[in-house]
Amino acid sequence: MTDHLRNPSQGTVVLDPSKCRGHGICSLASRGLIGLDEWGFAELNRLPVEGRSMRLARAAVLACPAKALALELLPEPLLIPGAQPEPPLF
Amino acid sequence: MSGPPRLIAREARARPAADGASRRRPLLEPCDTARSGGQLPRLLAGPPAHGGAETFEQHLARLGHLPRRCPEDIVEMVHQAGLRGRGGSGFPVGRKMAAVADRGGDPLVVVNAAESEPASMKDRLLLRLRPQLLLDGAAVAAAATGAGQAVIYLHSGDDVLASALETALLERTSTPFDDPTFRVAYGPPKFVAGESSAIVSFLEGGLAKPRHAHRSSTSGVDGRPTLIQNAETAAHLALIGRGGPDWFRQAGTSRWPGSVLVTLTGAVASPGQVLELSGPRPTSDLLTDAGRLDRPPQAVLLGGYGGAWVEGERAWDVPIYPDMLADRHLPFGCGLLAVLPHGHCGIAETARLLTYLADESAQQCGACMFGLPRLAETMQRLAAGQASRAELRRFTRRSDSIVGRGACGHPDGAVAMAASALDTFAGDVALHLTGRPCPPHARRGLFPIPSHCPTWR
Repeated sequence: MTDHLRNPSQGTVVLDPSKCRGHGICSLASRGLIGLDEWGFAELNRLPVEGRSMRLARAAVLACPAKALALELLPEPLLIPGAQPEPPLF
Repeated sequence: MSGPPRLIAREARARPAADGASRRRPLLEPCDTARSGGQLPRLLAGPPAHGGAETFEQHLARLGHLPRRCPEDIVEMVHQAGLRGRGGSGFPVGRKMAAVADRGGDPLVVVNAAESEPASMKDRLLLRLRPQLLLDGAAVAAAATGAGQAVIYLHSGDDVLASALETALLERTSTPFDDPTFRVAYGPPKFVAGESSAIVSFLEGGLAKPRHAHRSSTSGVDGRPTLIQNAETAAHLALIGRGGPDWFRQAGTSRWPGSVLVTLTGAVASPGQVLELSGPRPTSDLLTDAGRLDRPPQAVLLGGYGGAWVEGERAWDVPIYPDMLADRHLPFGCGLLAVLPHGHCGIAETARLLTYLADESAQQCGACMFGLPRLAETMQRLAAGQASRAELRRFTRRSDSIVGRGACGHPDGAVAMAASALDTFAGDVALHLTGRPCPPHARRGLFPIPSHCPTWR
């Protein structure tokens, strides 16, 4: 729940291909940011995202019915003077 | 339920001298100790193959007891020896051991004797003839990591291996070197069931299917740090535990210390023959000496069914050793050299292998479960002279879209093998695209394909 505080602007969408069942909802939710292969499975291994596409990536991760997607966040540079950097989530 | 997988290849065995002029060495020749420097045999030393499994008594008489050592010393020794995993990936064993040992908790050691590559015979041979070497290796790994338990994991259905292992366990009396508690686990005889994350899943009571981004050394069976080592690796550990790192390094190269086992199959004198190499030897050497070929074959499949085809003339001069092959971007894998003779259709053989690999998919990842059967289909049509250029282009596009998209490396291996076939047999491909298949006798299967096992437990 500290995500909005960290306000990370960079991350990587990670797929567990063994969980993906080819619903294709990620592609709809991310407006095509996440592509599908000819059988309808998410076509990515690791997809670096930043800036505006972070929002789309988040939507895709939340929308996946198979919970096959995750968003890895990069540790942010210090924004607040004197604050300790948080360790990366993964 | 189908029966146990039937292997078409004969198992390696000692061949008597055929004629006086060319004195053939039997596969396993007697050797007094393993401390013979860079000399061979090492893993295959001891009583001859037809004698069956070496008993615990014979094993101790030949090699003596494992000396007791503290865990740190063992890990350091394995580091010094530079032993790399013999299951195909070649990861430094010392590093893996240290990772498991440092993790603490309740570590577990698994010796992976499930040799999934249908044509590879090295682990089967070790288990059948030198089971005590394997168990010693498991004991060394357990001592290094502080594991109280060691699991020997193998495919079910091979009664000879099972009885060799179970007899060996019964024979094992107390030793000065404390044995861990041994357990034997029989996984399903499926190709990907020998993959390390699939083993973890199986030992947790699940299906023997691979998992995504899984690291067993930190979180293995039931979250325990788990050291999974190939059977040949374990056998090397048993010898390093006695001979030490300096002795171990007398064989092999500086980048790949120690001897390696390779299997010859296909159009060789005795398919399934296992050889031990103490250093790089050109393919020509192995194929003329042990394989009894007198000229380069049409092609050689290196590394296993997910390996790479190499044109015979080119393969002839390639030195066989993991590091030497890596320099040439060729896979050593499980150490398989599968020889395709002239007059045999490489595309038809590739179609068979690809169909087998597609059938062996764990049906988890879309790219593998839908992609591989499509590729196999196209390869079959190509072999039959029915494929068009457009289909072949689609084949390449599909291949590119599959690579890197499985939870394990299974689809990548299959795709790489198929791609190397299109390069290696480019002449045949061009011919088949004009609608002319090879004659039926050139299309009959050559390399062993096990029967399909329907269960994952």
